[in-house]
Amino acid sequence: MPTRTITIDPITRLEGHGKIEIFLDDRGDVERAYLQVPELRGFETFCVGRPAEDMPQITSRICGVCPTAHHMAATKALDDLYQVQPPPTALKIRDLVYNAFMLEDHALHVYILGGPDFIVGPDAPKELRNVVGVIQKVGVDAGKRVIAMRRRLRELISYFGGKVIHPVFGLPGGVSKGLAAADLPGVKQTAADAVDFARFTLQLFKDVVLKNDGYLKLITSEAYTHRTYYMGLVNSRNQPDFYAGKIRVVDPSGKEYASFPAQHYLAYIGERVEPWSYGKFCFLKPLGWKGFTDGPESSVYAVAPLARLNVAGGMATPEAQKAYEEYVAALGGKPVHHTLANHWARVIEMLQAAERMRELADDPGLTGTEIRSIPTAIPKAGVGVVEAPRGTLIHHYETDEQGLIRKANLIVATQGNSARMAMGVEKSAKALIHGGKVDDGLLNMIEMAFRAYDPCHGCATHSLPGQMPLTVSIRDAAGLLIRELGR
Amino acid sequence: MNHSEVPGIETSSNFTSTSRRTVVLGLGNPVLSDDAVGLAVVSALRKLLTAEPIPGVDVLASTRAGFELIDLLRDYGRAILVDCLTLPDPQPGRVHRLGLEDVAGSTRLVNVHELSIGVAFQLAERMGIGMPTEIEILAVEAADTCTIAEGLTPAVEAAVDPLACKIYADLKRRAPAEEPPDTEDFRNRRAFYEPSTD
Repeated sequence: MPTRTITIDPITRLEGHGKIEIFLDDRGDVERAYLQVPELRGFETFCVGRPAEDMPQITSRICGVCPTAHHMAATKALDDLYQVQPPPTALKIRDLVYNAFMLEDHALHVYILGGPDFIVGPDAPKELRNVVGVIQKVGVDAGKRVIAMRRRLRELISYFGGKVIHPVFGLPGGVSKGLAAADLPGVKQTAADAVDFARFTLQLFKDVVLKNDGYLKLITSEAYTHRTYYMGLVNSRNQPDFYAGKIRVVDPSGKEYASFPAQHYLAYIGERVEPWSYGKFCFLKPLGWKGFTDGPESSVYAVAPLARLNVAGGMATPEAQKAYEEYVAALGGKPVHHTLANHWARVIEMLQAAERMRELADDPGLTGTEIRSIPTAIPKAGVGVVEAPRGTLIHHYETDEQGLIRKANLIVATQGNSARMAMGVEKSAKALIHGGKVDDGLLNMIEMAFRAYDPCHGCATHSLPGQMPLTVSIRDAAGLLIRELGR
Repeated sequence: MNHSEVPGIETSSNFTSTSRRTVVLGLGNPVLSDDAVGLAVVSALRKLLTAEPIPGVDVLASTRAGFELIDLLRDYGRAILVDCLTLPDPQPGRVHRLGLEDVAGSTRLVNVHELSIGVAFQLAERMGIGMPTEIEILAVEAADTCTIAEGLTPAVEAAVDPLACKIYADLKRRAPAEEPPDTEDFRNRRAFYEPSTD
């Protein structure tokens, strides 16, 4: 019999709005915990009747967090819709921009959103667990480096995308702007500096996190471990590819379960609705929904850095590969089921993204002038997929023969992780709350269970919330508020 | 970073700045109903300024915030931010005038995605980046920020032009006699972040 409810709302440092509700039984132990997410309304209505070519612009505005991921997934869906193959130079430019974006976005998470948990420390007072606390710990020069690198990566993206508020870059069959030979040295310099920056971040992670036994224990603790399936894009050598490739799924033992092109996603990905959340929970459709459960009987899968490294046989670039080998060895082999290892995997992906940028900058084909194939086919349906920083992102459009949208469907990354996140919140709540004892540190530990995924609950609302960033409501069995705590 | 003292400027706070230019920055998501109100206000203001310019005023718009606030605001002397505000029991269209101190304590205010304006300013200060010494945040109460749609709800729409006019009048009242120095850096920011007026 649940006697009271604890609500954490809204979650601090989570991208988008979310709310955690914890139901305690009469002994004050956790009976059930829910992660509730609001969902934006009206996406399909908004899209129907619009020209498909508008989708890269529209979808990139829906989310202010990963606009480049939506822009690129939409652009790839247009390639598919018009059955057009972009010229090699266009693909290289897309790949370069995409890897710059991945690096920039991952850096944001490492230093600002998730980093404070580890760099500052999970038990540190809340007022220090933010980017200013991170700077205090790593030093002002490191902070300046982060800011400068981020700005330069954004400038690189803006070079191709134009105005930040109205990006125009991906077109069906190519891109809108090529790279002038005169600007190549600048790109090479940015790529070289990006590699240095990623190395520096990996070293920092090793020094601050991995040399601390307490943190390592936390990462590998059972409270933060779930044996699920994993999904991610890989190239033909089964290495992570953020921009292209096939979707690969491995089972909880690490064995390949499926490998398929994005166009077949409906055969593999099912979506489940629960009465307590507006969000949808993805699962592996051929297995059927088996509930919020892990292990061999699970049909839950995860996406994002941990998942991408689990579906891969190794990394696509040499230094990232070396870092990956250390990671796998330190965490006891693959697949790695520890949710908090997402942070480490993210840093390794930063290195691959930077090294990939450097490879592309050194590719003579990057400055080619043929950047677009003109579509001629009559459109019907198109599917595009990329690895967003937060996991596999799929855009699917159906149009009439004029290319006007009839149906639009998105599978966003956070949806892929939503079932595992819900399991994680409940498991850590159960491990950390006993006899009704709930303090700030414990609540942060629960939030860490899902912050590792870098969840982004599908909205770019910038509104100023008119309340404290974190409130805890405790209700009795009748739903009456008996206690309220605020940070 | 490269900022120097400019004669005639009083630096009354901890933050230093280099320019007598003022920036008006609109924040929001253009396809999320009332979330776009900040963008709508700066577009309206841009039109007023095009019709009758005021020296030393730049108008910018951003769909993000967080780190970008540092990139967009640094080196300006004065900043006016326009954003939307969600309250539990809203009175859509009502405008609140807030100071940095009203939002500085929060980890989330202004941008839920990255860092708050308060933390952005703390960070800039620690990095030695010159930020505006005078900050004003104009927040418009929203009715709906969850529906993907272009256009504002009627009460919020009705607040746009009056607010743009108020900001214009205030800028006009405090306008410098002549155009303060412009830089390449400011011009670049305008090239990428000026709001659309269509």
